[in-house]
Amino acid sequence: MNHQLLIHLRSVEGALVRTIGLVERRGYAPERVSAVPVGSHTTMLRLTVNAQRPIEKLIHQLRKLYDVQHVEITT
Amino acid sequence: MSPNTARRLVAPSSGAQVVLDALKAEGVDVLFGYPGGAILPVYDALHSSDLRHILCRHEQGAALAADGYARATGRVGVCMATSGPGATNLVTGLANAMLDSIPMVALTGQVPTQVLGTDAFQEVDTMGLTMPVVKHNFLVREATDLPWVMAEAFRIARSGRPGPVLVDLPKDVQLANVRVQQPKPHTNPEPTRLVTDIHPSIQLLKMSKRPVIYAGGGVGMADAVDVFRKFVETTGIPTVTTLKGLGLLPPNHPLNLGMLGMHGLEQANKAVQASDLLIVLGARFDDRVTGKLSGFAPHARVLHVEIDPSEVGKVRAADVSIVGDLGPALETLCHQLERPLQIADWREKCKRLQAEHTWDYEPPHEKVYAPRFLKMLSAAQGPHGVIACDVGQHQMWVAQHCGIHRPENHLSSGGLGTMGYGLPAAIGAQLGRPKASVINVSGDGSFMMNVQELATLKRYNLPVKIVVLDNSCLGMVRQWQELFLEKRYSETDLSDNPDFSKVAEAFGIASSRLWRRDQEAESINWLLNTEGPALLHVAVDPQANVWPFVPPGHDNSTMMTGESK
Repeated sequence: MNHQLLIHLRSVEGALVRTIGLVERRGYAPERVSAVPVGSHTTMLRLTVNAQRPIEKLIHQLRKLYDVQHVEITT
Repeated sequence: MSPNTARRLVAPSSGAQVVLDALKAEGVDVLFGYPGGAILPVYDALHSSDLRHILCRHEQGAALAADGYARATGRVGVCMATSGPGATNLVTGLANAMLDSIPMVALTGQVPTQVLGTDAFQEVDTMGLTMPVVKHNFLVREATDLPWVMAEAFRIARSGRPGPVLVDLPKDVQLANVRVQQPKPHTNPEPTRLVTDIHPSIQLLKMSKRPVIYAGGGVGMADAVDVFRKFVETTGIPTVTTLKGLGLLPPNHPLNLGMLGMHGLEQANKAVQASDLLIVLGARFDDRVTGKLSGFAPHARVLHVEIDPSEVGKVRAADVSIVGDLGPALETLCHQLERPLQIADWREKCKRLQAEHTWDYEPPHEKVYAPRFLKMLSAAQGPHGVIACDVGQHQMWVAQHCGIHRPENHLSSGGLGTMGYGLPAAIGAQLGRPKASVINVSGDGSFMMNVQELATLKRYNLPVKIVVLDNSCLGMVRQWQELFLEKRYSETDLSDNPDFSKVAEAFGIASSRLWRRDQEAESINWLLNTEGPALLHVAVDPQANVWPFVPPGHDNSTMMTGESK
């Protein structure tokens, strides 16, 4: 099942790789990725993931990342 | 600039000096490491610093020593290495700390920022390499960022669910001459107050007829041992612990059923399987604890108290959860409950289970019987000593048969299962608690994984006592091969081991051998009363297995008990 996530990241080195890497390590498949800067300190990451596992578990893991400021499921 | 810095401006100093000043501001008194080219400026600054640096003989040893220090003291462990192989050698130690939630800060040298990404000498992408095994990591490109990065590294390492944080320091950043604001001295955070509605938990507890407390390493790490004991006493609920939870109750406490799981005690697993409510405190339903998940505590509802929200429902759904600091949560529960639950029949049943499964320490042979020997060793050491062990059969025998009185007295690699953990962890513990008796119980396989740290022991003359339980094989793997792989002993024979006594002697460490059980008391006496470091080489039965044993794929009601127990 596919889910779309909207994630706000600090615009710092490693934040994007760290976030996408976590998604894969936790057993979810990123299918679409787009990232754009919003202002000078934040990156907005839109992520479509294919999930065999409950998406809420991934949300909990993402919220623990230091660089992640905000996560929401958009669909 | 981060808000985590003070307003005091100081004279210009090097980035390396700023790093050391930050360590001192965080209250660091000892760090473990190994120098090299890319971390040279920090080592140069260290030369005129009063920080105590312990030179380990391998970066993995340094990382595991920092881990042992952190577990034994409750403080943040610090380790340091150079770029490239120095950093890659830290990785196992970082993963070890990550899986067991140990607060650590690792500092690594890095090639200068101008040549990052050019495959420079001893360049490796430390940040990318360590991402999956740290709570967070930083690559510092500007020396002016050092004060807030260092302060954040320590804050992240110790906050919430603790873990390791790595700070990668390019050489030019260490050398830069900067005028920076010094970080504020570390202060302990204000204790948090519980904001969750406690009533659903109270209701669940009061409804239960057969509750069991299943407590893990999180209780000790939350500094909540005293309030945990108060909770057990107040409610009178029978208690099991994980490997990392050993010592939360004294070993002879009437409500302590011991460790649960794959090599858990029968009374612990049977109580959990029969329970109607599991009160899960600072634990995470690890697969070595649950066995086949669908059959774990099949009749129990779950009350999960946990600081990390991602652990609630990760493996087993909770009927009620409290996400927050364990100390205030248990205090509130105690306050609301006030008196023991009305579960006299259940308590009586658990007592009977304990009585039915007392251990027979007198097997019919003259060889050293590891469970009996370890029980004697632990009794001779006393309740305040620290035991650091490695991984394998001896690790489970330590967990089952040594009397652990506080969680910080039992250092064991739980999540990662790192062979070679014990000796460096014991070194870290001894440095953190110089007056404590510290014993490393190892196996012949594990001991060889970080044997070079004998040189560290000798260099600092640390009075760590080492026991090598030698069965001339990789015992735990051999056990699986015997039981599940038709005795095809693929690459587990270690009968060509070196003479461990002579190895110790070569490092200038006193040693002795124990071959027969009638020499046990004398050998333990020799070991514990020898001044400085000492090693006791103990020959144990190569055929001995660890019992009970829940075979893989089964639930905890299936416990193989062997013939020798």
